[in-house]
Amino acid sequence: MKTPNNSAAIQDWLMTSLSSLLSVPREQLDPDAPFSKYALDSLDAVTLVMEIEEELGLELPPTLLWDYPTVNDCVSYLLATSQALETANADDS
Amino acid sequence: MPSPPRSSATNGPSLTEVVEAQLGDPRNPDSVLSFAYSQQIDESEQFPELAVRWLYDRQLCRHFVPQELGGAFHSFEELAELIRVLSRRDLTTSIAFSTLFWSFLTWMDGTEEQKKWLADYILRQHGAMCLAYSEKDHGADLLAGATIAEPTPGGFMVTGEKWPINRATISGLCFLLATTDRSAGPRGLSLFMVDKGKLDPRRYHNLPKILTHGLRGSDVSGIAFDKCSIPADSLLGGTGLGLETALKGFQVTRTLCAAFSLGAGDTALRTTLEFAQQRTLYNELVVELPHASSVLSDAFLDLLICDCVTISGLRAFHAVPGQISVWSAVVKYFVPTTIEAMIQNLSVVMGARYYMRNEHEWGTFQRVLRDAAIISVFDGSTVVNLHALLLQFRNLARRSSTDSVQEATLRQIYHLQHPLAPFKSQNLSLASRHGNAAMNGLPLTLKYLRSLNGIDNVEQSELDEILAIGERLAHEISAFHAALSETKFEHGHRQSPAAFRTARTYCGLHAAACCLHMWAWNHADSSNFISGGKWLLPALKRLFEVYLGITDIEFPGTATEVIAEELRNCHNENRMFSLRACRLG
Repeated sequence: MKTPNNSAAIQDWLMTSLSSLLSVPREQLDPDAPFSKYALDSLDAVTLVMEIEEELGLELPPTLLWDYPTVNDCVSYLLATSQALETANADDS
Repeated sequence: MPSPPRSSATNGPSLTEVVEAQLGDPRNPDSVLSFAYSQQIDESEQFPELAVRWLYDRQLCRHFVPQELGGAFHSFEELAELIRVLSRRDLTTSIAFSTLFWSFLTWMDGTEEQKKWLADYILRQHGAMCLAYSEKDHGADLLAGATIAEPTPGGFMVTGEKWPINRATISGLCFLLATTDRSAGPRGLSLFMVDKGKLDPRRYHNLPKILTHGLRGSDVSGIAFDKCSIPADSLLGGTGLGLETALKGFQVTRTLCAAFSLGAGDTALRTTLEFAQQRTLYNELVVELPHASSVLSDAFLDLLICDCVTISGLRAFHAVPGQISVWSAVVKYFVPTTIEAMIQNLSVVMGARYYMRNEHEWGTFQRVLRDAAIISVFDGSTVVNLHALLLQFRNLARRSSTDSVQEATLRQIYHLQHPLAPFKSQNLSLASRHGNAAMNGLPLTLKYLRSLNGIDNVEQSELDEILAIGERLAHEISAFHAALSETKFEHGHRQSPAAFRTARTYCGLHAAACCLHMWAWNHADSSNFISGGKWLLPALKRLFEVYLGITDIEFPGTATEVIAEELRNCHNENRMFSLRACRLG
């Protein structure tokens, strides 16, 4: 999957993915709540990063969700990463 | 100062042989690590101070310290040799000495100053250390820990209690995990290297020795801090990095723990075989009775299988460090549980003597049985390791492509004569991005075997059988990965018993793959028992039966006698029951 390229699209994608992976209805997910609220412990968070990597086709730090512990924190990181990648790709071409 | 043993990285004798020669026969009561000594510290529940001091005096602590810091660490495989030699004599001493494992936390994440200080502490001050992670009310749940380290102008102020901790009392250094930010989740834990000599003795105290079922001479106790100041330079890595460093440290120690089990297993088998060769029942030596002979041979096979899993796991640190989150969990589950079961099986041959504390070789069998029973529990229990694996299943299934495995990688992991790359701790990862080379590389190894057009010391019919069962194993692995890819994302701690059974099966498949790889990449090196491959089909049959429920694997009837003969040869020639079959003291 191509990385969504704006904040709203990334948040939408991440909320949908988390809803499916965590079996939590999307409307019950709070983008500003820590992932631990959804019974996601430290190792689960590492596993979830591997799932996000697979979906996005990006290599991410395994501890991403430790450092960015809410959906919105994570969205900020992913947006910055995808923009940096686009810039790098543009420079290469 | 005595010169330290030579390394097996040179062309000299292996570390096993050097240390064995120094220690001599453990049945000789004059040996520093004799079975008599082991019995004495066990019965008196005294810490093995003399033996541990002897090990430091012989500079064996150097093998835990990187060469650039004045030590002699070359590889995890070699370090495990040392641990195995000590463990076959006395597990209490071996485990007490091996708290030096925790120095790898500093070698991995310490500053240059911290590394130099620790190297000096170990090499010149002969210092020892403990790992203070667990707490009475929280067990393996590290994030739930109640020990707090509050930042102060000069460092941190620690309050809390750690229990049960091996060498908490008889050590000068404490690797302490404590909460520095209650609101930061996994980033709220920090790791400290605390020099107890610098603490105010009024602000901490050691907890009483715990009476244990085995390892009775061990200092298993605890440590409590009460608003105890620790200096800022005791922080390892940085604030909030404690859990990440701790989990990577466990990758190292969980794999090395297998060496405790291998040493214990060697002694359990050796003392039982010794007994069976002397004991006459029904006008026949016990060792000649078919049932006893079969139990002994199966135990030997178990040790060889565990050796394949352990050695490849240790070499994987140097070849595929990014995969160790998987390999270490498999090794820590598979080896201790297999050897605990193996020792229990052997007790049948010992008869009533298995239970006696002062019969047959200083009651060694019952002591090993008790002492080894805790290896599958400490540094991450069986459940913790299976859980760590099942969390990675979907990821492992996705990354099961055989394309990612190179022949050079398999050679480095499995070819025992192949030099190892230096260990780069920065390449350890909490999750494997490249799956598991043992599983994913099997088709490549089978392709290599098919390309050989026959093998000198193996009959074509046997090679055909090995290839056939290898293909079957590859099929089982492929089907397993396909099934895993259909599973849901697992999280939390309420996974089903079926998920744990699946993780156990994964370990069995990994072990079977390791056996096949190990033979394939070493068969040409010599004409010994291991390269002859007679053990391989019986080993695979054993794994298929126990872990896959497949019972129709056949092998030539002569294999059973060849294995029994090699077992007797190893014993008579005083060689270790292992792949390398090193000469013993």
